[in-house]
Amino acid sequence: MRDVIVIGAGGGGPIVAKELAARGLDVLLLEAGPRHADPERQWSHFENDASHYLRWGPADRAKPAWLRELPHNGAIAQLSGVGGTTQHYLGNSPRAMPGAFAGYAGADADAYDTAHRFPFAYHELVPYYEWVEHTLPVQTAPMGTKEAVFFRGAERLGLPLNTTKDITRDSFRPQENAILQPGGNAGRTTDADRLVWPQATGCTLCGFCAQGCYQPRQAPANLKAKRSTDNSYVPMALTAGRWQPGGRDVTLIADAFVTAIGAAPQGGETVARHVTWRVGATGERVTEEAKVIVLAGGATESPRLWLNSNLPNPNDWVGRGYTDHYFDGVIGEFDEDTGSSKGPVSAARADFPGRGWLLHAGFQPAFTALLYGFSDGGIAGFYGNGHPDTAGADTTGRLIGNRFADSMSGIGRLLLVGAITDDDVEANNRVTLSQAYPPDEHGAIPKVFFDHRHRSARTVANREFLTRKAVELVRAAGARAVHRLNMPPLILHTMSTMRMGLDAADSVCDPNGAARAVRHLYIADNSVLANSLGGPNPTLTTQAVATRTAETIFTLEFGGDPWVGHEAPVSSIDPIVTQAVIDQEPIWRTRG
Amino acid sequence: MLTRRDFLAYCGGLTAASAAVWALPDVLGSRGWWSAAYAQDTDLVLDTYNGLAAMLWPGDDAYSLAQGESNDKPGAIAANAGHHAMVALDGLVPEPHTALSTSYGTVPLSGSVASAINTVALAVNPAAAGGAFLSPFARLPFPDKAGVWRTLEEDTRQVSDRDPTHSLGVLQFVFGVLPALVQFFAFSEIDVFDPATRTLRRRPVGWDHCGYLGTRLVPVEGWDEFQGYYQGRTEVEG
Repeated sequence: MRDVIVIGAGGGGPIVAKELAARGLDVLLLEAGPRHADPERQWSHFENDASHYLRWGPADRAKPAWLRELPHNGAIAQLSGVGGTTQHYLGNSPRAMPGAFAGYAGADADAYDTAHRFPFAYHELVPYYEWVEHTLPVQTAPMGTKEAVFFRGAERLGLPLNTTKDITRDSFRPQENAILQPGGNAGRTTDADRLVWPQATGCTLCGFCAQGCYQPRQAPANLKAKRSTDNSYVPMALTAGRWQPGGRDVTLIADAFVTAIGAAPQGGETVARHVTWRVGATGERVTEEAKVIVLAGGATESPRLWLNSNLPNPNDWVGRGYTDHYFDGVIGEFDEDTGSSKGPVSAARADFPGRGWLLHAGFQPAFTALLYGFSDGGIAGFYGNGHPDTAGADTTGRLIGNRFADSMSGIGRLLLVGAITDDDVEANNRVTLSQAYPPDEHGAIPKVFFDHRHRSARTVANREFLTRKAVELVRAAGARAVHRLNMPPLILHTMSTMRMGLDAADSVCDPNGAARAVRHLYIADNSVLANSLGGPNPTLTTQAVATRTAETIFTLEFGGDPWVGHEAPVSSIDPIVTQAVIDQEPIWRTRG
Repeated sequence: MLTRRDFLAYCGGLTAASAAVWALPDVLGSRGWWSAAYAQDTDLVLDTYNGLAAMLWPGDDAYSLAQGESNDKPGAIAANAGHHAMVALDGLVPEPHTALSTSYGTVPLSGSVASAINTVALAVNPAAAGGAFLSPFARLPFPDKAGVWRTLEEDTRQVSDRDPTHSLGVLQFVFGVLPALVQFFAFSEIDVFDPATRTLRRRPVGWDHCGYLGTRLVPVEGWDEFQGYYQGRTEVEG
């Protein structure tokens, strides 16, 4: 019997695995998708090619992706594989807005999702933020051409600069990113021969964050620029016995899709006992027992697995309350170079507590073209699909025809600003098991539904406010034309489908991340977040909460002592970790 | 003339068929219920997606000239985006998994989707019944093509707006995202990518159109874009 089995090696699971392995526990980490142990040879900077290895699907690229039912316009952007969705995340690592937490008494206290606040105070999470920020590490983003254009717009709007980690007022700033700052030749040359570690360290400003980061070439996994968990927490977990006295290396099994959590009645309670997974390559089913099971499959798969396992759902909140930040965005066209496809994809932001924030991002041509067609607002100039408001932009809806051709004629003269909304927890936005399609090899498939034309008044008002601000900022920066995308659900920031809460009537987990209905079962991915955080990117907060949950498991389930606030964290780029990774990487590459 | 009511009934039937095909593939196959998908003439289906590609990103090709919205540069037709969208639709949905089946094939959607597009095209403009192309949709003027999409998208959405539990499922999803998919392919490397060597045979049409990477065939490993830190701040205060 294992001490702990963690289901899912994405943004949250590896945090629990690494922390508990560092305490000497026997931890098994299971991942449904592939392990890319040699990304320099497995990945590329081609946009369509990347969509075949970074996807929600099996390790074998020749097989189709795993199906999910999405019964409306939109897209779900989640990945399988070690690293999960952090493989293509942008590394943005802001803290949540304090107003999203219990006990907040600021002047804008009523501006948030007051019915679904976190079940503890913001200051209680700060030590865990600091632990994760040091471990990843999180650093201030550098500036290039596109950031200079964005900052110019923010300055002209009169926004002040935020110089702290905390978000307490309307302001702008360089992103705090889980991306190593450029060093050596990085950021200073386009010569590939000079962009090799250790001559180049950290971010080479290549612009391909969303396609998996393997820069700089020849760097050990833990020194790749972007701190996706496959580059940070997973290497630490796999070498925990080598850098932490008393630590124990985690066992990682990829291509292992968990199909059931086994539980049994005991003393009037339901108790988690074991986990069953399917080996993708062979179809074999394997079962292992554990004292504690940690569910971290993501905000879509965690409720799917719960429901497929027939675990108790007494208040019917498993899968409910899905939040996604109700994305929108604008694209400005300039007469000057904006450097839009160069540098970290997102290195600048503007925050509006109680509303959400503005994402500055630059992408490559195919994804930029996709965004012009990804709309819920009809076709610009022809119909608005019931949602024609431009929010002050010149056009809205899909851009097509010669107007699209004109706009795409200069990828280096565009500026994309996303409107990332503080959206409400709403019971109707949810994951259920599909009735339309039969089960796949892993059981009933998930159906993801967002009632996006009937979202709460606060959510809609926040989105319109932010989109208007985005238009104003882009115009202030000098755009000659601005287009509103008016997106359908882009389910990319996936949150709160297994939410923690104070009220047992509308939450699945208690304030410790423990499932209320099943003993010895914890949840440690984005699904456990109580709400949409006030808008900020969810990964850092998920990781801070997962660290807190790991500490809870160690103290309550194994009788150990807490460590956050009592010890100094080891950074994932510490030389002792690097040496351990260098020693182990040849073995990882051989085994896959 | 196809009425709105007829159209919704038609889409509902397609949706039901597309859902049912996973449950009863053998039965459906034997009865020919799925013939709309499987029996579509390949050239007609491709012609339909070419008509869509030209609508989204016109160029100097015959489809663009016929629709009355064109220009003097290569567009989505030159990038073969219609073909790649058709292939993508046919690879979207896995075949049903059964205890007896080890197949990892997929259910072809492109035929049924093309059928819906062309059916609505004839309703929007009956003159599309004859003309230069195989696909009625491809024969339409540019504004009429947008009108077809309006019908496909708005009418299916309005059903869901009135009753969120009543969804037209896969069709609503497909009509929603298909334009974005075509535009993605049109500006990607897909048409000139050699999967064996993972290199490009030549520069993609979209890259040349938008001035991406100058004349390079290989994306960069990094840019000389570093301009320091805003106000010289390399870290926040705490």
